[in-house]
Amino acid sequence: MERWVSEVNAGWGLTVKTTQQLCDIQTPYQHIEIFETVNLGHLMMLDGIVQLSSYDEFAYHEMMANLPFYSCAHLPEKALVIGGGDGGVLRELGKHPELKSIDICEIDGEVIKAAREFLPETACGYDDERVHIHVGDGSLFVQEHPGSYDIIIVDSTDPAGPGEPLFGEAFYGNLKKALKPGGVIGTQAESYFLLPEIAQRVVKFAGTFFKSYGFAQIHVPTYPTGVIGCCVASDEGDVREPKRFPDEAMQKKLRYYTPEVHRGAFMLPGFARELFEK
Amino acid sequence: MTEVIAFDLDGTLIDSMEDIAGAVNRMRESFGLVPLSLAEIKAATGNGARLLVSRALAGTDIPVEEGLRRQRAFYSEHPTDTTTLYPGVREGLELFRSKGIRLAVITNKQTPLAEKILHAFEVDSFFDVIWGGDSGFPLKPDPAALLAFQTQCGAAKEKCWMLGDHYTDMGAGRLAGFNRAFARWGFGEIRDESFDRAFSSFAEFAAAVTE
Repeated sequence: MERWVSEVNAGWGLTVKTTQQLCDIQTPYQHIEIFETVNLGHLMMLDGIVQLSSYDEFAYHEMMANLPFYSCAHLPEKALVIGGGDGGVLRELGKHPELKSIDICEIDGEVIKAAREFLPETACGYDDERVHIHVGDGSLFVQEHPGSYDIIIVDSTDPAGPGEPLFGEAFYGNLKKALKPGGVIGTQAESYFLLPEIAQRVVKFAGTFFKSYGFAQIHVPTYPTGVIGCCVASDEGDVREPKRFPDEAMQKKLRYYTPEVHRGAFMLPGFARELFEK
Repeated sequence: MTEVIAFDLDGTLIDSMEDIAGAVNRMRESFGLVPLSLAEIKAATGNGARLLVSRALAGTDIPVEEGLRRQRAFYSEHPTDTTTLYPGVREGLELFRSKGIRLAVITNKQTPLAEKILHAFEVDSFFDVIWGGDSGFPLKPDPAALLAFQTQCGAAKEKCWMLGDHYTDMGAGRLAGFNRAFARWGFGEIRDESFDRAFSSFAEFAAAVTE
């Protein structure tokens, strides 16, 4: 039966025409909903917030994976994804044969189960034998693994509910401790239109602990305001410049990320630049 | 709880770049040389006056000692023409004092000049010690001065902070085992050193180390 579902924020929002609800689960952490839509493929929402649609998830997942991957001055071997239970970032990381190990720490095991059942296009990321699944609190996980990772990607929900600890200053300090020397983080940094205070806070925390840091904008039509950020940070090099480049075979596997897009993502509109300079 | 803070001076507590540059260029002018740009002089600072003058006279036959003598003379006559305390410094020092935190200025600048400048801003009394490059300790990044102050205060290293804007400050802090705070508002360079925390303002630093 067709039904419009909406994400509403501060008086405006996104509404999507769906044909069928595939999943409707309340877990101890959040309300998981997955829909079949008329034009956007699958749509996943957590606590009424759009997490992904088949239509444009490639943009977000490619950038979240590849901004840190190609910002890293040395060839990364070990990656950690915090959150990201849908598997999309895993799928993108899995395209890189150089990675030897990919850990994922997702707090809600039900998200993984739902993704495996209803979102094969992203959950295929779990099929990679290099992936090791940990169900638990990512903010504690990083404290338990000091000096362990070349890249850490935080694919979190918004800073309410289970995602809240992942937007704190202490968490960014612990991310740094969990990195190997020269490692890079990439964290979901919200929209500078929708949640400028959160975006500013995240970038400020990154600047507190890392020598090089920046906010990279990603165009995702089904996220409110159509743009979301990835905060990239490292103690080595300039994260705004890719250190290595996809070869021809890899570039063919990517629909959004290119080295030029990497650089361009950090070129922000004036008001956003001012926001992060405050 | 923080017990000890060691501060760099130029680019950390005081914005002194223009007065330093002015003295360097007066020195060059006295030898008939054209002035250097602010950016060139900024790039030459952070390792003490001797190296600053040596870099400022690079490519000439002028003896560094004579250049240093003249630069020091010019600078001591005009140390606070344009120099200012960075915003939040006075309030931060008052906060540290109220918490009983022991404070040191550890600078590669000469001690009498450092004292003169801090006295001009009426903040010298906040500090337990003001140790310059002539106080018997090797210049930063050697950690000797930091360690001496830490010993004098009887504080554990994990309760000590080094705040500075230059890689020599971070190097000294690292070698001393202090917590390292990088002052992004300064005019130094981090180069290959790193830090434990970086701050965009003195007020942010003060709040973080006293919470």
